[in-house]
This record gives sequence, structure tokens and C-alpha cells, in this order.
Amino acid sequence: MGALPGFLEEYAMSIAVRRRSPAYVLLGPDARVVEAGGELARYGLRDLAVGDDVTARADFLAGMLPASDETIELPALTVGEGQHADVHIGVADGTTFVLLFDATARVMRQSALQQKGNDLDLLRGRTVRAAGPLPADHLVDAANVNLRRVAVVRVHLILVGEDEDEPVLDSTRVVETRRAQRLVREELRRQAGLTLETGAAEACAAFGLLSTTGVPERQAIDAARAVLAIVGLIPGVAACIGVASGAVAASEPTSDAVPIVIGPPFDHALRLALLVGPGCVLADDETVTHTQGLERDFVGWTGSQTGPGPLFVRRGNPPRHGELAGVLSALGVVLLEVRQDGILFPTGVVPDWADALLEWEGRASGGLRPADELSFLANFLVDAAEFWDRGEVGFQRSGIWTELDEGGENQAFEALALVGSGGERLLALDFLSEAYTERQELLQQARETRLSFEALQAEIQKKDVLLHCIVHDLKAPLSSIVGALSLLNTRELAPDKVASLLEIGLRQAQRQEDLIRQVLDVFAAEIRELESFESDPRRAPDLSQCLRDAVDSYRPAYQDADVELTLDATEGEMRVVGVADRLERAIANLLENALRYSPAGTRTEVAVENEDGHVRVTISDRGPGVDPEVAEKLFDRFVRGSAGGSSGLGLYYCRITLRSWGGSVGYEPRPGGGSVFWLRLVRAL
Amino acid sequence: MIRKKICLLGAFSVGKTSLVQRLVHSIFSERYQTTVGVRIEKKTLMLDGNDVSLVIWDLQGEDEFQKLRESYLRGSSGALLVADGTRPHTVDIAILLRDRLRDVCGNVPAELLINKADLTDEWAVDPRAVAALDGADSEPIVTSAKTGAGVEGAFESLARRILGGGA
Ligand SMILES: Nc1nc2c(ncn2[C@@H]2O[C@H](COP(=O)(O)OP(=O)(O)OP(=O)(O)O)[C@@H](O)[C@H]2O)c(=O)[nH]1
Ligand SMILES: [Mg+2]
Repeated sequence: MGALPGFLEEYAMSIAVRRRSPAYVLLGPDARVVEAGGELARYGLRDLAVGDDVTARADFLAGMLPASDETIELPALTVGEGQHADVHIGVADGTTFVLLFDATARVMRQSALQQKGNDLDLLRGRTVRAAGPLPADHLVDAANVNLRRVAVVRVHLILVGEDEDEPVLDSTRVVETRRAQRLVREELRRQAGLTLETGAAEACAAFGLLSTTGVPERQAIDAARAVLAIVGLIPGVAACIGVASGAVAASEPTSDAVPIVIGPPFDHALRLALLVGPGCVLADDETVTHTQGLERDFVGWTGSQTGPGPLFVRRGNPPRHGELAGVLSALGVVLLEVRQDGILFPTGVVPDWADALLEWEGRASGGLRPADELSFLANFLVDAAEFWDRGEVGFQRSGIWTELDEGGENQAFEALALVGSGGERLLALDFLSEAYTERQELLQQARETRLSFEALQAEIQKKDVLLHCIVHDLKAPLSSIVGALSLLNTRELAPDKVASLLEIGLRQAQRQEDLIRQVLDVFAAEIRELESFESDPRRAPDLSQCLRDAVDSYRPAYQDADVELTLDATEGEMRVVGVADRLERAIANLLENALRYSPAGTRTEVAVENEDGHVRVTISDRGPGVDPEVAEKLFDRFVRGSAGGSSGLGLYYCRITLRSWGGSVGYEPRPGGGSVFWLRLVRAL
Repeated sequence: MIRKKICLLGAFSVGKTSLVQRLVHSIFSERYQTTVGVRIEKKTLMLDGNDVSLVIWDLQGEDEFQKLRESYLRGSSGALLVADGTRPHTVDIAILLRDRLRDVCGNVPAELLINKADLTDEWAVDPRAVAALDGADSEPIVTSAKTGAGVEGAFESLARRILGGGA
């Protein structure tokens, strides 16, 4: 290949100068500017003056100078905010030069493509995961254990001193506790196969706290039971509350003295333990956040100085609910006693937040009622009454509900129906915060996973059907080819018959090729959507020419099928925004589609109309037309139940291609029967 | 003023909360925040010159993680059963939930809503087919909490039926 002839080289140069905005800098020794010119401003070198040190102005040159004899090229260098350049550095005629070409458009395009590629990768990753073990392992198991497979076991050993007034935690107690821990741990290993981690040393000493995480719920419950079974053997340990958080609430007193409460959240379980338990409670900072009031209401000893949190011990009778109310209100729970007539009497102070839920019954009675007869609480009281009437031990939960407070914030509540030690009907109202958030987040996660799984499943299904349709499309011409070839194989054919069979075979083969191209086009077009197109009228495609070419190439196929094909009003150029070969392809797809549905002996007309700033191409056939229901979805990527199981990719191709040029495609019924498919293109002006 | 309790029932993420937010506060958020339990809102509608106050119970979505408690339905004068037009199986869930509503509340009015009408590209439910399959007394209402299309109409239509004012 020879050099370009002078006049062409000049032309090529002029293009390069116009499109690539070159700039140059010539440098003397020590990187001082000798001369500079071109579109320097574009590269952030606006007022580069002779004598300037260029490396101080252009960071990208740092370390690149002095230049070697061999020119180096640095493609797609970032030279400023959103500005990219191809930079050439070299020496010519003893002078060091730096030559810059604009590369911004190219880099942007590349990065958009890369982004799209990354998105695809991510999607692929998700598909693999979704098709893999996700539903079985994650969703189903999670469902079985109500949100979370793993539970946290916390075992609190409650130590009771010999003498009521004597501090429980003395050195002998610490030893006892350690011993108890060891016993518990060994027992757990033996019975439930669990290895428990103890908490921080002091915490263990003070509270006999043992905890382990990540245990299946069933095992957590077993573990709590195992602890209970041996607690009685340990000197000084009177009671134990085992809490397996994350599991379903269940209250199962295994003996009079030793209740077990299993349920989330810990605060809640603790409160229940207070209500049904033997009156010994142990709390630490981690689990009980509001402790003022506890000290007042519990006689006994508090050890907040030595341990990480206070320890409350109480012996003797179970607390009466009147005393409990104080504790509960400190914990943020309102305890109300419910009289026969449904009026609620607070057993302690009613906090502000309860105002939204309760209203005064009247000065005389001093009682309260749910604030609204249609409210959640009023509704729950009906269930609660049934529960109380049954006279069972235990409690009934209302389930969580939320209401807007005065500040417009959503607040979550839960109510609990209980029976007091004297048979009182009690209603505990709880204001939830963290517990609610935690549950909300877990649920949200599970559901989002499920949603993306469903979406991917739907996508995979669609693809399967699409594949089926593509195969179906490809098979039709193949049968004609096989038919033609088998006929040719029989002898004694007249020469003109042979020629026509060959013609048919060839044409069907071409048709098949077209279909394959269509499939490939679609996949390519989805990625190409962001690519540029021509809108400069001098280079924009000529619609008239595209129409003529497409019609010419389809003429033989139409003749075969005995369908007339006419082209109207295409004299003269008509420049439109787009890319010529893809525009021709879109037109061809519509011609292919019309042919598919045109009965023999009918006519298909191609026409062009000018609209304000646009051009409209119509292709009208006299086929059966399109069912309005299908019509809405004709241009979708895959039309469920589309005629003959056809993939309909051709129409989808038209849509995405035209859309990327600011145009559109559509369908309307033809007056008098048949279909009109149209393309609307923007004129290149 | 007439006050009525109505419930919104349906599979998770069909747009129950979004429909209520659209009706009551005229807002829409793309962000999904699943409802735990029940969320109660109020809205007064003007119907033929009368104010009707609706106490709207937006219930948690039905799935394997959370089941509907039937006692929540008690005292409901009617319900909106919500399905997602891009997830066909949510229609089945809505229809199942209607049976449970009928078990608790008897034959109260219920409108079937097919929501997310703005997502035309992913739309996968044919309302006419649903009506045929369902044998319901009324056609499903197609809504979009995002654009607001059909939302007020759906609540009004339910309120009218509750008040016995015909369809
Ligand atoms: N495009 C579109 N998105 C919607 C529409 N309605 C809801 N969404 C979206 O769908 C998701 C779920 O909406 P929610 O209103 O939280 O659904 P929900 O039925 O209350 O869900 P749960 O409380 O989990 O049962 C959110 O991301 C919403 O933004 C709609 O009409 N159009
Ligand atoms: Mg919701």
C-alpha cells in the first residue's frame, strides 16, 4: 500500500484537525515551552506561554520528560474534568514535541459500554445464584424457622444468696458461678453437642452469662432446656432464664421455680419472665436499656459498679402486678388491668406515647379505652377477651402494628394479653423500636431476595420460550429447502423445473440466513443502543434509497408468494437521522412480516408521507390484521402467544433501533382490512 | 360522619402501602419498605356530597414469612385485594385472600386491583382474563400507585359499594 496522494493526505489532515482538536507544545531542554498552538484550552493549557515549565502545568507529563527518540503514545489520558486525550510525546528534528488529540467521545462511549458489560456480568452472576441453591437453602429454610435459621442462645443463671440482705456477688459466688458455667458448658456439650462461648470474663462472673451464636433454632431451644435440667444441681443457682432470640416465642415453665422464656427480643422475654417468673431477675446493660425504676422496685442488691450492668435479685413471692407496673413502665411498657366492661385501668404511669392509642373514658371512672373503635387495639381486645375467657396460662400477642404519631413518624406497637397472679386480666402495651427495625430488615431482605429470584426466573422462562420460537422460525424455510432438494433428487425433471426448484431452495436458504441475521441483529442492537448515529444531513441515510433497496431485495420473495409489492412517492433524496444499513434492515423486517401474513393474490403497499419535521413510512398489507390484544405487545421483545410461535424478533429490532434514533414504530389496522405498520423517522435537517 | 374500616390485602410488594400513600399523602416512592404487621391510615372521601371517613388497614403482605391473621379482618366493611400486574401469581394470592375475607366478614364488597399499570414492558396479566377466570361480580381495576392512575377511583368505587350506592 502506497502513501496517500498529496491532495487526499491534505483532506485526511483537515478531517483530523476538525474532529480531533489537536494541540501541540514544542519544548526546549529543561521542559521549557518554546512554542505552543492548536486547541490548547481544551486540554487545560489555555495560557501556556513561552518559557513556562510545562510539567508544572500538565500533570500528565510528569516523569515523561525528557522524551526519548522513540515517540511514545499515551492513549485516552485524563487531562482534566471529563476531558480525555491521546497524547504523543517524541523528538523530531532535535525538538521535543507533545501532541494532543481529543479522545473524550471515544472514552465516554467505551465507558458506557463497559458499564453495560459490567451490568450484564452482575446479572449473570445473579442468574447463576438464583438458578443454584438459593430457593432450597435460603428461602425455604428461612421460612421454616420463621425468619432466621440461626438463633442466639443466652443463658442467664440467677444466683440467689442465702441471706436476703447480703450481696450475692462475693468471692465464693464468683467461684460458684465459674463452676456453674463449667458444669453448664460440659452438660451442653454432652446433651446438645454445643460448644458455648462464654462472654467477657467479668460478665460471666457477675451474670453467669453463656452465649453462643449461629445455632439452629431447634438446637437453641434444646440447649436452653439442657441448661434448665442441670441448674438445680448447682449450688446457689436458683433460677435460669434461657433466651433463644430469633426463634418463635414460647413460654414453657418446666417447673415452678424455673421458667424458661424463649423469644425475641430479649427485652421482651425478660419482661415476660418478670410476669410469670419466680421473682428473680438478672439484667445487664446489653439487654435492658432502661434501668431506672428497676432499682426502686426490686429489693435486693444492685451490682452496677463491679459488673457491666446491674443485677436485680428478688426472692420470695412472685411480684404483684402493681409492683411490676413500675418495672414495666421503666422498660417502656404500659400495664393495664381490664375490667369486665372493657374499660382499661393503668397500673402505673401512662407514658406520652400511649396518648395516641388510649383516651380517657371519663373523669368519673378514671379508666381508659382504645382511642378509636375501629383501631387496631379495639380489634385486639376482642381476641384478648376470648383468650382471658379461656382461662389459660401464658399470654397472647396482638402482632405488630404501626401508626403515625403527631410528628408524622411511623411508630410500631405490640400488645400482650396476660393473666395476672391473682387472675387479673392484664394488657401490656409495648412501644417497639429496635425490635421492630430488626424484624423489618430481616423480612425486607428475605423479600427482596425473593423478588429478584422471581424476576430472574421470569426472564429465564421468557428466554426459553424465545429460543423455542427462534428454532421454529428457522425450521420453516428449512422444510422448503429439504423439499426442493428431495425433488431435485428424483430423476427425469424438465430443465425448467430444475431451475425453479433450485431457485426456491436458494431463496429459502437466503430467507433462513436473513432470520439468523435478525436474531444476531437483535442481540447486537441491544448493546449498540448507545452508539452514535448520523444526523448531519450530508451523511445521514437517504430514506428513498433505503426503501428502494429493501423493496428490490424482497421483490422475488413476494413474486414467489404471488403478492404484489408497490413503492410509492420516493423520488428525490430524503435524509433521515439513522444509520443506512440498519434502517434498511428495519424496513426489510416489516416487508418480511407483511409477506408472512399476506394471502396470495393481494397487494402490499409501501408509502412515504412527510410530517412536520418527520417522515412516516407505511407498509400496508391485506392480511388478517392483528388482534387488538396482541397489537399492544407486537413490538415487545417476546410476545406471548404470538402467531405461529414466531419469535417476532424482527419487530422488536425495529422498535429498539428506531427508538435509539428518536423515531418510533407502530401498528394500526388498515381501513378495509389488513395491517398498516409504520416507521416514523426524524428528518436530518 | 360515616366511618368505615377497609383492609388492603395481597401478596408482598404488590403496592398496598404505595396505594395508600398515594391516596392519603399524594406521594410515591420507588423504594421498597416492607410492612411489618399492620399500618393504619385515615382518609376522608367526598362521595356524592357526603363525607365518608375510611380507616384503612394496610396489612402485611402474605407469604411464607408472614401469614394473614384473620382477626385483623374483623369489622371490615370492605377490602381492596391488590395484585401486581407484572407478577401473575399475585392474582391467585389475591383471590385466595378474598375467600378468607369472606370467611371472616361475610359477603362484604371487595375490589380486585391490578397495580403497577405503568410498567407496561413487564406487564403480564390480562384483566379481562382475570375477570373471566375469577367469575367475580366486577372487573378488576387497573391502577398505578406511581402515576396515580385509577387509585382514587378504586377507593371511591369500594366506598360506594360499601354504602350500597351501586357500582
Ligand atoms: N412502577 C410501579 N412501582 C410500584 C407501584 N406500586 C408500588 N410500586 C413499587 O413496588 C414496591 C412495593 O411497594 P409497597 O407499596 O411497599 O408494596 P406492599 O404491597 O405494601 O408490600 P408489603 O408491605 O411488603 O406487603 C416498591 O418498590 C414500590 O415503589 C406502581 O404502581 N408502579
Ligand atoms: Mg406494605
